[in-house]
Parts: sequence; structure tokens; C-alpha cells
Amino acid sequence: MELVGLIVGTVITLMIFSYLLGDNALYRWALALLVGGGVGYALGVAMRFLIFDWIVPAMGATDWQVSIVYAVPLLLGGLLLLKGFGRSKIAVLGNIPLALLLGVGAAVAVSGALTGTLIPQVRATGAALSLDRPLLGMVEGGIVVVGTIATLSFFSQRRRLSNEGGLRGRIQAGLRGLGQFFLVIALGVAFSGAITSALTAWVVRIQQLLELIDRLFFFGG
Amino acid sequence: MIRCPNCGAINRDGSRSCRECGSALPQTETRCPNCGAPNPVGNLFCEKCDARLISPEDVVPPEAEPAEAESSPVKGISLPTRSMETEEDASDLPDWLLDLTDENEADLFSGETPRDEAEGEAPSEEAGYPDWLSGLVDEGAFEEGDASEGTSDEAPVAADELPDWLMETSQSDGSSPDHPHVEASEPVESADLIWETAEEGTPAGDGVRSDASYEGLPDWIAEQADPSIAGPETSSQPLPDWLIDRAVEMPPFEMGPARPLPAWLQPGDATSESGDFSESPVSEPLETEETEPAGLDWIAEAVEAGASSASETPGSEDSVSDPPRKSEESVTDGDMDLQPEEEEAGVEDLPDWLAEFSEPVPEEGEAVTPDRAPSKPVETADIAETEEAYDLDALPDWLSEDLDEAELEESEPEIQPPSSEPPSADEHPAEEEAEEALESEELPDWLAEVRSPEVPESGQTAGVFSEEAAEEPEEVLSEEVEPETEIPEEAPDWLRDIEPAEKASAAQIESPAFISSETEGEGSAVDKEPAPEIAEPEEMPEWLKNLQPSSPQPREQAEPSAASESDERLARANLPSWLQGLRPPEEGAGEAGPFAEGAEVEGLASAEIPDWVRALRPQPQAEGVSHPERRERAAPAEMEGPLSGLHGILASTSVVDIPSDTEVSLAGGVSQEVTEQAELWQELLASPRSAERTVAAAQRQRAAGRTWVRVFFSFILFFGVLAGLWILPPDLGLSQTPSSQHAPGIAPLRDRLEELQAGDAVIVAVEYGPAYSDEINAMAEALFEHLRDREVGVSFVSTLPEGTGLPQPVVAAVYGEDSPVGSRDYLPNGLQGIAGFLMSPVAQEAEHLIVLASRPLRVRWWIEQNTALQGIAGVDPLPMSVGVSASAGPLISPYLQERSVAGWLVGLPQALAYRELRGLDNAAYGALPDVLMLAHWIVAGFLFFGLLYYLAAGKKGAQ
Repeated sequence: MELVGLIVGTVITLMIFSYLLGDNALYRWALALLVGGGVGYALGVAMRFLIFDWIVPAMGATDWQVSIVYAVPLLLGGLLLLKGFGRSKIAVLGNIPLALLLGVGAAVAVSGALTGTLIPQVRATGAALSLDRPLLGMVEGGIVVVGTIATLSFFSQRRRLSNEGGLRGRIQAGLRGLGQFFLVIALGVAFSGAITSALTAWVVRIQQLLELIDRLFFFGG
Repeated sequence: MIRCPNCGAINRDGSRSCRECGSALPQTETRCPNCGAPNPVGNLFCEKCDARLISPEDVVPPEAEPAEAESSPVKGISLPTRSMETEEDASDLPDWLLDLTDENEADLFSGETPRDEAEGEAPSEEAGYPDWLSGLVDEGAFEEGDASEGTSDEAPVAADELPDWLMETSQSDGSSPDHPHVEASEPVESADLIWETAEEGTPAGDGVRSDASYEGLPDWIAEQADPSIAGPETSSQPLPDWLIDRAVEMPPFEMGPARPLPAWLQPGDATSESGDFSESPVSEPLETEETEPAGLDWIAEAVEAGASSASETPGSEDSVSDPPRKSEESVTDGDMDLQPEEEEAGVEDLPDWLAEFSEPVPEEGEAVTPDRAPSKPVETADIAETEEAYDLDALPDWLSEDLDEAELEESEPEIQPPSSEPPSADEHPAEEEAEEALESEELPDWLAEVRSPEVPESGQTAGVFSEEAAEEPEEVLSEEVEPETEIPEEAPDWLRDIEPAEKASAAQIESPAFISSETEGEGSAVDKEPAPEIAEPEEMPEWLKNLQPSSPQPREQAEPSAASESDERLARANLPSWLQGLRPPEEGAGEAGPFAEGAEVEGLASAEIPDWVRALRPQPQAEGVSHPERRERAAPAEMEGPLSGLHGILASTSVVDIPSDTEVSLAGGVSQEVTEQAELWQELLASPRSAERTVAAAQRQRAAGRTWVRVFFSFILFFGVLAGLWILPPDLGLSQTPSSQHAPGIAPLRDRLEELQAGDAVIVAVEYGPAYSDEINAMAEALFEHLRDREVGVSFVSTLPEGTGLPQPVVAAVYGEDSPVGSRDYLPNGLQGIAGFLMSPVAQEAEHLIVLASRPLRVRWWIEQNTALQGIAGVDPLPMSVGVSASAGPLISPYLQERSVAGWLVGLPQALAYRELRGLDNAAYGALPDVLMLAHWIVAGFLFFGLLYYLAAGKKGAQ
């Protein structure tokens, strides 16, 4: 069974590699297989979750409070399905769970972004300039602060301030350029990480291919 | 259109003077004083606003006796309106007719004629009516005669010999209940005059006339004069003063010598007499519409003749109880009876067809209904009686022939039932039109009289028969049995003349329905109406010769020469437009059409077309010869498709036909640049579509080059990796695992996991897809080995549906058969699902959270939501570790640096470093780290080569 999976995986991998020659049917077929298999698997998982994690407990619950806990999400989910009726009047009922989802999602995202990203990042940036750090640390912190300000300047000021003349304009233009530089470095690092990730997958795939060849032709020797 | 009586020019309707000669034109329209709408002459009321066109003072004579009028059961009867004739117009009459008129006037009125009082317009033109037209006139007389109940009882005319419209016309007698009541200032007509003249002899005002006063009158006149005979309606007829005076002075009638009166005129005059058989008094003639009773004199003579006969036969009033004769039946309102003795006395000299009118009707007990009595048969009969003294030799031949033929058919009286339902006026529009036009035309007096019976079709019917009487025709019939007459079988010529013309002009003249119905019925009065067969008289005046029948049928009976002559005269005749429509078409006219080029329309004078108009006439060309200046362009040949090379297959759709000899030139000229551009466009359009485009070819070349470059580098990378895996030994040591300095998250992660106790629960969030499974599964394997070693329970959660299943091979490889993995929960709705899960009891009971993600977003979600739990009472954030792919590591570094994450692993090298940190051997991975390092060098070489190429070729060259 493992061998079959290995063979199938190798064939599909080669089909994906065929994209090097351009868009072709093998690549599209392999891509469709990946997407279709993923969606089908996701649907199966979602249905399993709905049935076994919500409906069955809701129907088997004897306590009314437990039933309400399960029934309300099911009711909202059922109303959300009414959005599939298009512009009919009954589809309006689907706006209730949809509004709930959007409102709760926005609230969760904002709260999480404030407490988990913005405040910790500002705090970390300020901590970088701490005087109790060593000189190298202070330089590192300074670079972080400058890089952060320069990057924010690049996205916020852009050309409006940089086109102004005078010292202020030149400073703004310098910050904008510095922010662009930090962005390029950051993107370069991200790209290197992407390359590393891709090469890892590439090497692992080829390793599996060699393993298959070893099994098929050298019997694992 | 109005034809000028002087020059014959055609003038527009409503013109008062000729546009050619300036002479006065006959009036054809009467302006409504109320709305100004034009109305035909003869209308009493406006067709639009119903306003009275003629003042009642002009219509009702002041001498009218209201007592009589009130006593009359017939209400609202008035004479039809017609143009009055003046004495001046009478001068247009032929001499012989004038003589007749003068003599009649002298005899009847002792030198004082109604014409002296009647002043009005006289026809300014001798209406040269052809025979067919005279037939129409006679038809009108017959119509009037049909108005009487039971007309002629002579041999009926074959129905098929009569035109439909004529038969319907005959049915449209004055008794039609549908006819509107019209008070008209109808000119004094001879019958009325006679009647009123006879009335003069009676005690005034009593309405009862003594028989002695009628001794000198013929019976039919006496019947008119006698209300007891004529019925109550007759007593209401007022008499004008002049007529009353004349009647007083009038000596007893005596039959005078027969005069050579054209027989065709007799029914016409008789018809005109019948037109006066209305109960309404005759007013003083209008100044403008006065009509002189042209036939008055000769009718007076006829009356004299009848009177003389009546004087010889006593008891003329007894004729009421006598079996009614044809004349009685044909009496309209006057119920004029002719005694058999009178008839016999005059029969010798009368033509047979006229004598038939004198024949007594065998039926008895039938009385004439005054309001339904036709006028024309009466008149015809009267004339027949009066003509007994006429010299047949003096009659024209055509009339003599008629008389001879009528003699052969004189017997066989047949009483015909009267027409029960006369048609309405709208059923015979052609006749109405004829009447109107005739009124407007310049007709001589006698024709005006002749025409008068036609008028009741439209308006005079009401003058003859009252509405009340018309509304109850059946009652009248039931009360008084009307004598029925029989019309000779053979139709008169004038009827025959009409027939072909009618057939030919059926489209122009719509026959009234009542004619056909009457014809198809048991026989109407018209069917049996005797009519003289008109032949061209020898001494017929020139204008009368123009009245010869022109239809083919009478030509067979008439002389061929006379027919041709009549045709010529008919062609020269000045006919009104409405009569032109009635003109019988010539043979073959239907093909060429009446207005065809060069076609001679009979009766119409050739129009004088000015030269400049002729010049505008399109010149006929030979067939197939095109205009020299407007030659058609040769149809272009088809360029493509199955029709290529063929000319003129598809019709051209040119909007403007441009002559082929037209040269198109621009005034401003065309610049050389525009010309070159046009040539280029033309060249491009002319090039076939399948031609290779240089741009597309260049793009394909560049694409192919990029493909080959991509394949080349891919093969290098592929075979380099393959060779490294295959060739490189496992312990070559090209790569070194990252130290703690380069991987600061490894040690904290190891330390955090070392704090876990056996039985603790660790939640592993799987947030990566299959594409990153090889990379992340290596980190998961290192972590699961550690957790296995720490005997910690593991649960998988994921916001990706397929997430929880991906680490299954690793779990199977690490844990084997005894998998401690608990639940695999799917967290729907992404961020909210994470927040909800972290607050759930399962998460709160866990000791550690490990997030395995391939993208920074998923890691951020978990970090943010876990950090957000700090502000919520009762909920503590979980200690969290992260294992992300190499692609997400740099981007997630700020979070890792912020210390909200206990430890982290980034990519396969750190996973190996983690194993190495734990003291594990990475021999199982073999040369994988070295090959990965080799691959990185290869890729770096590609990047460097590309950089050099980019620097050498430049940006534009690299593209």
C-alpha cells in the first residue's frame, strides 16, 4: 500500500513538474486532482463535524440547556443556508447568521490584532531602544525602529510628502527610500525562506522518487 | 369639379367664376350661415351643425293655410330644395322647348306663368345629357313613381333587365320611413300647381272640393285637388297665391292638339310634377333657388288634355271607388285618378307604354295611399293620358319605337304589392350625389324638373311623404288597399341604357341594396314600370342628340350611325363630375384604364395640357433601354464564397444610385500622408487572414525561449539534486545544522516541552496543506518524538478541513500502533473558530499548544487569539510553540521575538537541529541536508547568473 502511494505520488509529482514546459493537460489534471481531492476531503470532514459533533449531540441531549447550546448554532446554520435561494424573500433570513458571523468575526479580529499584534509589536519596537541593552542590541533596536518608521513612512506618505521641496521633503524622500529598502530586504528574506521551503519539498520529492526507484529496481538495497 | 358652362373649363368646387373665361359658375355649394361648412345645394340643413341653410320664410309661403296643414295627418312635409330657375336661364332652353313652355303657360295660366314670379338662377348650360343619363333622370322619375303605393300595373319589366341600383332606386320611394323630414323650398312643380289650381275651385279653407271644380281637370288632378279622393294629406297642401290666382282664372281644361313633345321628356316632366306631391305648401320661390316649373306649360297642356277627357266622362270623382288604374296607383299624394273613358279617349294617340298606364287595374277596392303613392308612375300615366292627343308622327323615332313596342305589351295588368320598406337615404349614395351634382349643374328647367323626383331620394322624399306617414307604412297599407300596377315586361331603353353602364361602373356607383332586393322580390314598381324606349328623334335638337345612349346595349337597338354619333356627342358633352363617373365605360377601357395615355374617355373632352406640362411628362422608352445619363452600374462580382466570380447574384444595397460617369473628387484634396495611410490600410485589409503576424510570432519566440530557459534550469536543479542524493555520501557534511544562535527558538521549545508531564494534554494545531507536508512533517516528527518521550497526550485541531489528517503518517511513524492522539477537531470559521476553541474547556485543560503552520497568517491568528485571552477573566492563555515552514519564518519572526511564543522551529534545517539538540541522530535523513544545501547553491547560482544577465543586457534586453 505504501508502494502504491509512493508510485501515485511520484506520478503526480512528475505531472506537476511538467509545468516547466508550460501549461499543459498533465499539469491541469494533477492540479484539478489536488483541488478536487482537497475539497472533497474538506467536505467530508465538515459533514462529519456537523453530524457527529453537533447534530448527534443535540439530538441526544436530555438537558434543555445543552439542547439550546446545540440548537442555536444549528438554527443559525440553517438560516445561512437560505442564502442559497438567491433574491427571494426567504433568503433574507440568511442575513441573520451572516450578520452575526461578520460582526463577531470583525470583533474577534480587531481584538486579536490589538492585543496580539499591534500592542506587542509596538512594545517590542520600543524595547529595542532600551538603554540597558548592549551597544549591538541598541544598534539592532535602532535599526528596528528606523526600519519600522521608514516602512510605515513608505506606505503612509508615499509621493505626497516626498514631492515636497525643502529639507522636509528631502527627509521624507529619504525615509521613503529607506522604508522601501527595508521592504526589499524583508521580501528578500521571505523569498529566501520560500525558496528554502520549495527546495525542501523538491529535494524530499526527489528523495522519494529515488526511494521508489530503489524499491522497484534495487529492492531497497 | 365644376365645368364652366361657357368654355367648358374645369373649375374647383365652390368656385364662383370660371378661371378661364371668368363667367359665373353655377353654385354647387351653400355655405352654412352657422358654421360655414359647405353643403350641397339643395340641403335644407347643414350636414355638420344641422343648422337651417334656408330660412323658413323662404320655404313656407306666407299663404300657407295652417288649418289645412294642421288638419293634415302628414306633418312636417316640405318640398325638397332645389335650385330655382330664372327666366333668364330659360333662354338657354331650346327653342322648341321654350315654345312649349310659353304655349303651356299661355294655355294653362292665361299668359301668367309661375316663371314670372319665380326668379332664380337658371341653368346656364344646356345640359347635354346622353340617353343613359336621361335614363338616370327617368330613373329618378321612376323613383318618384315608386314612392306611390303600387305603381304601374303594366307588364313588369324583367328584373334582369334593370340594373340593381336602379331597382333599388325605384324602391327608394318617397315613402321611405327612413328618409328624414326635410322642409325644402322646392320649386313649384307642375303637379302641385295643377293640384292647387284645381283646389282654387273649391271653397277656400274647408278642405273639401266640389266635384264641379274638377270637371275641367283630369281625374288625377282632380284627385289631387279633392281631399276626399286624395286622402287627408292632400288637403293640407297649401297653395301659393299666384297659383290660387291662376286657378281662379284658369278656364276649364281642354285637351289641345298634341304637341310633338319628346316622349323621354314626359316622364321627366311627370317626375317633376310628382315632385310636388308633397303636403307641405310651396313657398314663394327663393331668389337664389327659385326653380321655374319648366315643364309646367306642357304639363298644363297635358292636364288640359286630361281635363278634356275628363269632361267628356262624367263622374271623375267616382274614380275613387273605381278599380284603380295604373295612373291611380302611381299617384302619389294627389291620388289622381284617370277615368277609363279618358284613357280610352287618349289611348289612340298615346304610345302603348303610356297607354298601359291608362289601363284600368282589374283589382278593386284598392285605394291609393297618399303618403306612399309614387309620383313618377302617376306622372307617366298622366302623360300617357295627355298624350292621347299627341301626334305620334311628331314624336321622334326613338320615342315612336318605344310606343310601338309598348303597344304590344300594353295589356296584362298586374298589381304589384307596394314596396313595404323603402330604403333609407344612405342606401343610394350615388343617387344622392347625382342629385346634388345635378342641382349644382346648370340644368335647364325641364331637366331640373326631371331631376326633382330624384331629390326625394335624399331629401325630397321627406317632402313628399311625411315622417309620420313613413313611420307607419304598414298601417296605411292596411287601411287603404292600394292599386297595384304592372310594369311592362320589356324595360324601356333608358333603363337598358343604364344597365350596361351600371355594370361597367359598378365600382364607381354602389347600387343601393334596396334596388337589388326589390328586384329579387316579387317585383317592384320599378320592375313593372313602363318606360318609353328612347330613340333618337328625327327632329331632336342638337343638344338632345347628345343624349343618345352610349352603352352597348342600346346601340343594338338604335341605329349604328346614331349610336356612334351619340358617342361623339357624349364625348363632347359637358358633364359634371358625378355624371362622368356614371358614364358607361368603353370596351377595353378596363385594360387601359380611363386615364390611360391616349385613351379617349367617352364624354370627356381632351384636356389641354400646356406645353411645359407636356415637357415634364416621362418619355416612354423601349424596354431594356436604360437612360443614357443614368446607366446602372455593373453589379460587382462576388469576391468570396461559393458565389465568387458571379455578377449580380446578390442585390446591391446602395442607398444612392451614383451614375457610373460621375467622378468623385474632393475639393480640398488629399495629402500624401493620408494617401499612404489609406494604401497601407488597403494593403492590410487585402492581406488574407491566415497570414502570419510578426507580433504573434515574436511573442511565441519569446515564450519558447523562456520555456527552454525554465526547462534548462529545472533539469539542472533536478539532476543536481538527484545526483546529490544518489552520489553524495550521507556523511559528507556539506551542511551544518543551525546553532542556537541562528535558531533562537529551538532551545526554548525544547525546554518548554521538557516541562510537560506525563498525561498532560498538548494541542497540536495543524495549519498547513499537503504542499508543505514534507517540510512541516519533519518538524512534526521531531516534536512528536519529544512528546512521545514525555508521554503527553496529543489532540489535533485545524481550521483547515484537511489539516487534521496530514500529520497522520507522522503520528503513525512516531507512535506506531498505540496512538495517543485523541480528537481531531475541525475548527470552522477560521479566526472565530480559533477564538472559540481557545475558550473551550478542551483548550483550557491543555498544557501546551503547538501550532504547525505553513503561512504566517494562521500563526498570527493563533498567537493573537491566544494573547487576547489574557484580558478575559477566568481564561488563561496557553503556552504556545510554533513550527512553521521556512517561507513563513521570516514573517513570523516579530511575534516570535515578542515572547508570546515559547519556542519555534522554522523549516527542515531547524527540525534537524532540534533533533540534534535533543541528542538524536539524523542519519535517517541521510544526505538530505547536504543535498538541500546543494540545491540552495544551485539556486543561488541561478540567481547570480540572472543578475549578471540582467546587468549585462539591461532591463529592456532581459525582457
